[in-house]
Parts: sequence; C-alpha cells; structure tokens
Amino acid sequence: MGFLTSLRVSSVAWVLLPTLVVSWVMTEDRTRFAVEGYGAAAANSALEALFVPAAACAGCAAWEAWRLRRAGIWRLPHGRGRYAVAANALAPVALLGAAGLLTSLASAWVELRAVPDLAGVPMLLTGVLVLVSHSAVGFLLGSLLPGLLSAPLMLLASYLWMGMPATMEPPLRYLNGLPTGSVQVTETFAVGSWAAPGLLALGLVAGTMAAVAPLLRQVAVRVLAAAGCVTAAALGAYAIVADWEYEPRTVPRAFTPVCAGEAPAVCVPPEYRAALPGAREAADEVIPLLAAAGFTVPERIVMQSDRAPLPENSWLFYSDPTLTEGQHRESIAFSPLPWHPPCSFATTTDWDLESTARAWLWLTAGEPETFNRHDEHLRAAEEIRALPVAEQQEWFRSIEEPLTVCRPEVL
Amino acid sequence: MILWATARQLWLLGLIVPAYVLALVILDDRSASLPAVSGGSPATVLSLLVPLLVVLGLLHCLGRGLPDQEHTGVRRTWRYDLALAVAVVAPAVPLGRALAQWLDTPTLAATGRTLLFLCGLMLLVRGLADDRVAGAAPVVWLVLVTLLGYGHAGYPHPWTVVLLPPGDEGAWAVSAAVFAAGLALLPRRGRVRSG
Repeated sequence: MGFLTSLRVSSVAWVLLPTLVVSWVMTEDRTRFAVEGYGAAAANSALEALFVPAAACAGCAAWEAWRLRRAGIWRLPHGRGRYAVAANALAPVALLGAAGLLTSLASAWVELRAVPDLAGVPMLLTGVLVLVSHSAVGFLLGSLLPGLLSAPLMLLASYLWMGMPATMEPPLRYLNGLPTGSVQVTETFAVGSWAAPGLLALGLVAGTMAAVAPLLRQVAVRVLAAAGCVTAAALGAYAIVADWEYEPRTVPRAFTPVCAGEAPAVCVPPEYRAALPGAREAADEVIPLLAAAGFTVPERIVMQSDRAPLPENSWLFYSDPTLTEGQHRESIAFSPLPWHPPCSFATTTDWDLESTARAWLWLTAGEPETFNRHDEHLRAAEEIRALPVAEQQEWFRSIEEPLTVCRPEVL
Repeated sequence: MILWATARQLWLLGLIVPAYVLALVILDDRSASLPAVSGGSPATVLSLLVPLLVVLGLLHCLGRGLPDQEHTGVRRTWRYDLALAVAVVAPAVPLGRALAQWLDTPTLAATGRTLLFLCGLMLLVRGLADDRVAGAAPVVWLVLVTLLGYGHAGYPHPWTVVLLPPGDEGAWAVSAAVFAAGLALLPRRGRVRSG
C-alpha cells in the first residue's frame, strides 16, 4: 500500500492535527523557564512535550494492529515478511511521531530563538527512540488486547508511563525519556539523561521484534526472547542512573564567556549577554569596597557551573538578565565565598556560618538595610565588622574550610 | 437472555467490578502530579483513573454483539444492554460514598460521579460516532482535564466536571445528564464488533 493511501485510511489522519496543536502548546508552556537562545534548553523544552506524540503513537499503533488483525492479515499466506507488513502499517504512525517532535522543536524555536545544539542531539535521538518504542509496544499489545480497548488502553498506559515517573523517586523518574526539569545555562545534559531511557527504549523495540520474530517458531521461545531483551535493557538502564538523586544530573557546559571590563573582568555565558552591563555596574560599585576590606581583587568574576572547578584567580557569581540592580550587587558581594561542588543528598556545609559570612559580605559591600538574613547572623557579622580589617580577613580565611566541606545534615 | 449474556462476555464484568473496588481501596488518596499546561497541576488523585476499568470493560461487553443480526431480531437486546449499563454504573455511587466513609478519604465519594460521567461520555460517543472512538473518548477527556483542567490558583475549571469536589451539585447534575443522554443513544448501537 502506498504511503498516502496508508495515511488516508489510518487513524493518524484523525489524530494528527490535535497532536500537533497540543505538542505546540505544551512546548510553549514548557519554555517559560527556559533560557532564551540556548540550544540545549530548546531541546529540553521540546522533549518535555514528548508525552503527547508518544501517547498518540502508542494509541494509533494499537489501532493499526487491530485493523490488521481484524483483516486477518497474519493468517493469510503472505509474500512479504511480518516486519515489512507491520512497517507499512506503522508508516503513518512514524509520520505522526516525527511531526509531533518537529512541531515541538518549532514551538521551542519560536519561543527561545534557538535550535538544539550538539549536546541536545543525543537527547533528541533518544526522544525518537522513545517514540519508536511506544509505537512498537502499542502495535504488539494492539495485536493481543481486545479490539475496542487496545487503542485507549495504550493511549492511557503511554501517558501514565511518560507523565507519572516525574513525581516518583529516582531512578525511576529518569527512565522514560521525559526531562524532569529545565536545564540551566551553565549546564548541559549528562550522558545518563539520554543513555538510560535510550537503552530501555531500544530494549522495548528489540523485545517487540523478538515477540513476533518469524524465525522463532514457538510462542514460548518468542516470549522468553522478548522478556530477555526487555529485562536486560531495563536492568542496564537502571544501572546507569541507579545513584542519581532527585534532581537530574547535569554536567558543566563548555562555553566561551562574554566579558566586560578589566580588573576584574565580569564574564557571563553568551546567552546572558544582556545581563553584562548591570553586572559590570554592580562590580564597579562593590569591588572597591571588598578591596578596602582586605580582599585581593581577582582577574575575573565568572558565571559558570558550580560543578566545574573555578579557574585560578577567579570568583564565582550568578547573573541573569532579570536581576535587579540590588540583586546584582548582592551577587557580586557574595562572589568571594569559597567555591565548592554542590553537596550531595542529605549533606550540607555549615549553614549558620555561611549565613554569617554572607551577612558580613553584605555589610562590607555597604548595603545593610535590605539584607534579609536572620538578625542573629547580622548581629554576628556586625561584631566581626567591629574588628580591625586584618582580623576580619583572618576570620574569613578561617571559615573557608567549613564552607567548602559537605557534612551529613542534622535535621 | 443466556445467549445475550454469553455473547456479551458478562463474566468479564464479574472480574472487573471487584478489581474496580480493589483498585479504589489500594489507591485510596494516592496522587501524582501529571503534566499540565499551567506548569504544574496540583497532584491528581489516582482514583480518578479507576472508573476507566469499568467504562472500557462495559464498552468491550457492549461491543461483543452482532449489530446487524440484533437489529433485525425480534428480541430487543438493546434493552438488556441498557439494563446492563445501569446495573454496572448505578451502584458505583453509593459504593464510592461508602468507601469514602470507610477509608476516611472524601475524594473517593466522587468516583461514582466520575464513572457516571465517563460512562455517559462513552455511550454518547458510541451512539453518535463509533465504538472505536467511544473507547478513546473517556481516556482523552481524562488526559485533557489533567493537562488543561486547573487554573493558575490550582482550582479545577468547572468544565472539567470530574475534577470538581465530591459535593459539587452542578457536577453531579451534569454527570447524570450525560449518562442519561448516553443511555438514550444506546439503541443506536455500535457498528464495530470488539475482539
């Protein structure tokens, strides 16, 4: 059957338009917290709507399988192999999945003005694999389940599998291919983000193909082969993300920052170029005050991932185009705090000491009235401020160790 | 009658109804945050999905008939179908209230109403369109209400019906009306046989 004929007679003809509309709207909704102009954020937002085409593909594949079963295709003597017959019936479903994903990417492009970068390509390929796996499983179960129920059941099962794990405990929430959060401008996807769901999807496709393999004549053998494929893939995928915590793991992004000024230069990711003037202005006001308090002015104040080691002679700060003047000053004022990698689950640095250090830095930066820390920290910081400058610096150096070492959190 | 019961595979409903009760007891007030356009809906109670068991089971049973033969037959089997739909759905209302009291989970009191609405929706679509679309209609409705049904403050929109609080009289009235309309269309039996 020609592709256009397949499309015309398939369920996809009904489902295509609603799927595209919902994919567009969902992606648009998901771009609200995404970084404009950042390719990985565009890929992430598009994939956050993946559950829409996935559920549509699963339902339509089950429908097509039922049509073939009702027509008695599998009982007829056939000139073409089972895979070829199934592929022909699933061609419109593939179009549906591809169109859904492309619509999401187009929506992300319109909202964020970014196309997925190289780091987003494996994520998108995993998304394609997830769509293929939903279609394959939908087709298989559509061949087995009662006719009228197969499509709605597959639609529901796919929707729940894609939608529910996000609220579940790790590592289950990382296996379905749906991103569980937005990606920061200084971060990009960890390999496990796409490897784990990709492997599971591959296992599901392989399991489905094994379940209908013409070479395996006995049903029991086919079932065993299918179960083996799916189990091996599920265990492998689980192993990849077994030690992940509730927040999805990311890796620092390599980028060439844009900088403004000198001594120190203030540097941000290129997507946050618009924040540079505000950050520069805040640095011009705050850095002289910090220098007067005894700090050696670094070469650069950089915004980068807090997972990446800080370059020599640099301070770390945070910026984005929405920060106010006051927030920029606060961010620059806190930049002398010693860098440390984020603490893992249930561990923390000395929070009280860090709050006191922040209060002291804030007072040092000359903005006492808007500081919203506890009074006790502010009082402690004021006592330290009463000491000579050299002793204040000695105190600050003495607290560097407790501020960089993660210890079990006492609740 | 026996032939009708055999053809409709009523034994399946005999399995589904206890499974429905068991699922409600097990799920109790468990909830999950499903994807939503508003950027994070309040957690949706999972018992909202349980009535689909009965709705799809009933659709399967109704779809087991032989439409052409039954149309021309002397015995009006649609009356049996109608009685079956009422017999399956109506007890769910007091059952939901009883479970809500027993488990001290007020949300369970709405499951009977949800079943009324979804079953009515299925029967309506079955009468107006096709058995095949009828199965998808309640599922799509539930997906839609979880996607779009909550306002920014986290309150459900009135059009969702199934998300409204158990005591919402308007939702009960709409559900009953939809079910009644679905029953009214039952004689316009499905054109596609399940199986």
